[in-house]
Amino acid sequence: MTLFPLTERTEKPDRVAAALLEGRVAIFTDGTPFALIVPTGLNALLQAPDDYYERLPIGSFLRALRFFAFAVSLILPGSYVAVVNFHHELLPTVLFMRISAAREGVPFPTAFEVVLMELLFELLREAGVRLPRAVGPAISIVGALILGDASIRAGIVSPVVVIIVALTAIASFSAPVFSLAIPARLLRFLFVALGATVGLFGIQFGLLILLTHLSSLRSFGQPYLAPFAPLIPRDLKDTLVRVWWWDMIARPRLTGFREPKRQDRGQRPRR
Amino acid sequence: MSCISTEKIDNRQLLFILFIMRTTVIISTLPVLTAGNAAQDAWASALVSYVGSAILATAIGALGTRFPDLTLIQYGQKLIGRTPAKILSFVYLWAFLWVAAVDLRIYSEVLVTAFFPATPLVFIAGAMAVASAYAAYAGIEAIGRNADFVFPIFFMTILASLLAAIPQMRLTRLQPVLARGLKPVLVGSITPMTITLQVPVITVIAPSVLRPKKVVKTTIWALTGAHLVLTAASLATVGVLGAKPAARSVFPFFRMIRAIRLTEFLERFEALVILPWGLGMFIGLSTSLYCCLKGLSQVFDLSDYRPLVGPMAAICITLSIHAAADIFQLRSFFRPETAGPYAFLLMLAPPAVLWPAYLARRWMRKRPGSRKGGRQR
Repeated sequence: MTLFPLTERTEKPDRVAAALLEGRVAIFTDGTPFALIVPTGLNALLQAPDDYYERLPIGSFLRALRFFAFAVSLILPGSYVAVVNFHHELLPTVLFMRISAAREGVPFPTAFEVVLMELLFELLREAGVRLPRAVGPAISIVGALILGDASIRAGIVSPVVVIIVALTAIASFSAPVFSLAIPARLLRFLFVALGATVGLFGIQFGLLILLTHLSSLRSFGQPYLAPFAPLIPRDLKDTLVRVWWWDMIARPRLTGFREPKRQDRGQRPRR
Repeated sequence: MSCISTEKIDNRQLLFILFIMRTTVIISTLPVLTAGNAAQDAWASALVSYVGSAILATAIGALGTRFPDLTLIQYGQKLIGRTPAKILSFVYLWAFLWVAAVDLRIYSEVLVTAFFPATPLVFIAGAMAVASAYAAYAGIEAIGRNADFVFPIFFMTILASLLAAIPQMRLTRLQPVLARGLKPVLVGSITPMTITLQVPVITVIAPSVLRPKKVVKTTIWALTGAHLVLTAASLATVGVLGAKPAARSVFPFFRMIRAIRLTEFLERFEALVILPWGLGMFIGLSTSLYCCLKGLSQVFDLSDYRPLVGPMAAICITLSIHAAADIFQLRSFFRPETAGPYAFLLMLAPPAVLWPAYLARRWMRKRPGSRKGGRQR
């Protein structure tokens, strides 16, 4: 049983074409505009077409940013609670003074505050998705401007928590596949609970369990964390950063083994 | 249970596992400094203990390469008969459990002294044991992948903390070199060698490795890496803290990191070092637990080791709490004169029995007129 998506659902033809060229399989069915791509993994779910359309440094930067954002959307609220409750020494003194000054007069413990704001945000997001497009923006105005601002003014939550929740939300929007953002949304609450009870040790405990879960997970036989774990050095060319097109000579080893060669060597353009 | 018997890990993953396992314990306690009295010559002790550990690892692992698809428990039964081999296997099973318990204890002591002075030890030990038990339950493949994932983080952090120590090192603290002769250096190298007690895990993991004949080579490479790190860590710790204060502190390496202050912003970052170190500890713990469970299931001819995971984790937690009254007792146990004989006996007893049996068997078979010819597997 897992929260993580084991298939990739997409409407975009370029995504499907790219997956087919890597030796993966696309499943089409009647009555839906979506195709299912299998097998998939964490790396594939964090790739977006734009990484390939943009120039190399930009594409690589965006890719690395997205990995970072996924981590942020998972553990930022939990880590904030852990640091504020247990590990003051990790923050520069001035920053910690600012945070405690902002928390002055807030009636709730930090963890409760964070959970409250996260829940509020999830609610706003769900309401915004369900409403017709014409009324949708009204939710974001009511939610962001009125509720957020008013709750700070009323002294119910501290401004730092609003920043943390907003950052987390933005980070979770950057996941290219929606179904990957959902497990992070749920697990976030677990990490807040762990961070609130045992600090960073709790976060580490959660990460260890998550890591073990992900490394024992397979999507149609392919290890979920490949090519990081198991490490496939050749396939690292298209992970945290992507290399030049002319350097991606081989297809991914686990899916493209039937025809491993993608292109000839020495395709680098001459000046 | 076919899916369990076909679980395979790469030799690289075994190398990462062994490297991480060894490095975590060895740098946190820095036994070269704290156990003996090598003082400023701790780095030399680290190098000497490398040679000793490599020889021990060969003695432990070499017989396994003759039986590439059997664990020690299985080939022991072929060599000296069912019951004696099973009794003998308990030596290593105890070693795995003991290593896991001591690892767990050291880890929880580090966290309690550094971060959670008010938290009961058993809570931290329990949480860590649960995480490791889950990994052991997931199997050696998952542990291998965890090691793949953790290794870069772990290695980079240690490298970064060693590099960060350079500006504050005073090389004069390493002098005088070998002033008191070789004896303290040799005595100081015994305790790091006793930590080779982790290496017998290869006798259980070897059949699950892709190239089991190269297991000893893999182990030696892992030891090489770990002892290079140990040498660098003891140089850095002595260089930053000085030999006497370093030898007096309980966890010299973390104290060294605590003393580092790069800039106004980057001070007291030991929590960021302890997190990856905890990841490393997790790899070591889950491997020890897995090997103990796997071995136990083979001794009792169980088809699956998974039902034993929970009870074994509970035993491990209890043992880690009751193994020593406090960290100082554990530390005095690690003195060369107590830990040395204990660990060497545990490590070398199975090979000392099985090697003669193996050689005698081979000699019997080569003799003309023996009952059976050919290789028996």
